[in-house]
Amino acid sequence: MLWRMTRIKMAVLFCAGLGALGFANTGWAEGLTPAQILERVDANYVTDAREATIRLVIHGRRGTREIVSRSWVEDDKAFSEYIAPARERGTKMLKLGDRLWMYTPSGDRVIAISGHLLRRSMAGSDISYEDFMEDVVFSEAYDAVLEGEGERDGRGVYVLRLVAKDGVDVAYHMRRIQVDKETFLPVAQRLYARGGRLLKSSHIAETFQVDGRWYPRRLRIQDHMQDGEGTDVIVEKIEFDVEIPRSRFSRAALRR
Amino acid sequence: MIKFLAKGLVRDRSRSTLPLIVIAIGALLTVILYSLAKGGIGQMVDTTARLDAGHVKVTTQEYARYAGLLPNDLALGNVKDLVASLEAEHPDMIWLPRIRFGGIGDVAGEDGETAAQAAVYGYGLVLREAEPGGEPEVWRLDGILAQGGLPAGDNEALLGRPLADALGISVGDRLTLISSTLHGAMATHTFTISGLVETGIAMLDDVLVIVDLEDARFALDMEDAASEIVGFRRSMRYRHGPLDAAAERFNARHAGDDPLSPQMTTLADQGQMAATLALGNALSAVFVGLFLVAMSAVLWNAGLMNGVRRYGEVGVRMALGETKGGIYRSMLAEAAVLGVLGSVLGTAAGLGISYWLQVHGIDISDAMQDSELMLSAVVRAEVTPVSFYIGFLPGVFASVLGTACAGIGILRRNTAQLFRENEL
Repeated sequence: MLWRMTRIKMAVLFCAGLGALGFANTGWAEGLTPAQILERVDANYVTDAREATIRLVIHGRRGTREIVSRSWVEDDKAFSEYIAPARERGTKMLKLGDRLWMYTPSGDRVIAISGHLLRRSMAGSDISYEDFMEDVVFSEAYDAVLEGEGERDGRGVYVLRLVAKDGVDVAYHMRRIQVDKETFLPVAQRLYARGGRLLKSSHIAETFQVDGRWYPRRLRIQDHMQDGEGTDVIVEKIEFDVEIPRSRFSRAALRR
Repeated sequence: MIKFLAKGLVRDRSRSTLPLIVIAIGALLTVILYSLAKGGIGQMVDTTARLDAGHVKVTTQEYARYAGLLPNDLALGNVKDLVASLEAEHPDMIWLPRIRFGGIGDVAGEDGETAAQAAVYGYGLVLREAEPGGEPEVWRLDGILAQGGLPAGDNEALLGRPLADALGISVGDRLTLISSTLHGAMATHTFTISGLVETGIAMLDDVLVIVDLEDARFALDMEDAASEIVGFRRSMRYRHGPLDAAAERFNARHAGDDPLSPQMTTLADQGQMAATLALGNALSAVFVGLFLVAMSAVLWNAGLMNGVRRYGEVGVRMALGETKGGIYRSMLAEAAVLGVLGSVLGTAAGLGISYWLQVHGIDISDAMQDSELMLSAVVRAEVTPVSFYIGFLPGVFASVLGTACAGIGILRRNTAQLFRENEL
């Protein structure tokens, strides 16, 4: 089951479901059904465990800020720690299943993030805590319709419309995605609320290959409810199938 | 003749006592109601100015549009320079940068888990480095401090006593603020409670957190930024004219398309304040007008009764050759004397009671429990120079007007009829 497998979340640590992580996929997917395309997209996320260093470049209304974090992901557990800038250093987040805690040195408290707080911006970026929490597996959460095929930046893409399946709780009811025909990276996404309102969009600006997988090097996410110009998620370093000590995913680790 | 009229007033109590009592009561009520209205409205304006609007307020254009949402991502930047330029241009005013924030107050239990939470409404004020006339005086913190002391060290906070009670914490305990930074990120910061305050404004005390401006800046990542800069005339008396002109000049200088450029708004132009001020003035006029009409009606009636009773006297005076006009004028003079006397008595009593209400006030806390108005739980009267003469208007005018109306009947009667009525 894909659910039980640890998925790669690099941008994902910030925006699972928005981040499109690559898979060394060189074959031409001729004759694939929409469901099969989604399964190939999902396959891009699968790994046992990973450790990554991510740089967020937040293009806000008042200027540009950068935040650098390290993150560890295994199964449905994730831990991240901000390492720059100085003001944010030491801020940590722990996700265990569907629960999320945050520790900030200035507050010196471990705060459970729940309810409406989940919709708040994470570190002032275009990514919400809800995005961070979401463990969406496209093929399980959405029904897909192939709307067509086209080109993006000179590469062939599938254009899919995804609508959440009945009874599945997801942050975005509908998605329109463009999936690269070769890498099966969702190179562009538009995310909509149930009422049809466009909430967020993202596109992959740069990709790279690591351990035989294709990954986005740089991803731009735009929250259309905000006035900024989006947030770049830049993967600076990533390792797969790393050994992560069990203690990493404990609440005690937040205060260490 | 004067002696004759004076003796008549003193000896015939029915001609003087009732009108005197009516006039005195009218003047008394006019003075009290005017002073209460003036005090109540003034108190609301003063409280609003001190805690909310200032005499003028500088914000970004966009912040002013969404001020109710406390959008600190739209806060003013380069505040140090802005305050310096405002101080240079308006040396007769005090300029105080403030940060306002909403959020959640979170209290940890012994296990570090959340034990209690409540919505909070916070102010970051210049407290530790306050200058004379600064925030502690503007907020009258010494007067509203119910327990503990003002923030003296880093990361100390004052809490509304009802908020502290609701959270089950007191002086020395810690409160974690969960709010938003200038960049829209979630912020958490822990403060130690240095004191509890009671502003007397129920809606505020239930949520109030006051911290030093620098601590708020650190907590909310607002270096050299502020939600607003409030300006006060050093006399703390609001005068719309000159402040409005100052605001116009400021706004003309900073006009532009940048939604984060500063704009100045006067107290009267914020929210419903202009309407409230107009309402206050209208209420005073209504009080005076109502009493003028009501007392005139009563005194008219009393005059008519007197007129009937004084048919004999009037008839004799006419028989003795006094003209109708002369009699009428003497009655008006009597009324004026009674009006002045009654007004003096009523005003004196009204001023006494109003002064008592100014000192002690009326406790309306029961009625204010669920109120969303920025009104103190104790409403006080305000004795102003106008209070000293406001009662004279209805007192004297009503007396003369009532007598004038009643006296018209006398002018309409002819001498023969008077003689016949008096069987002369």
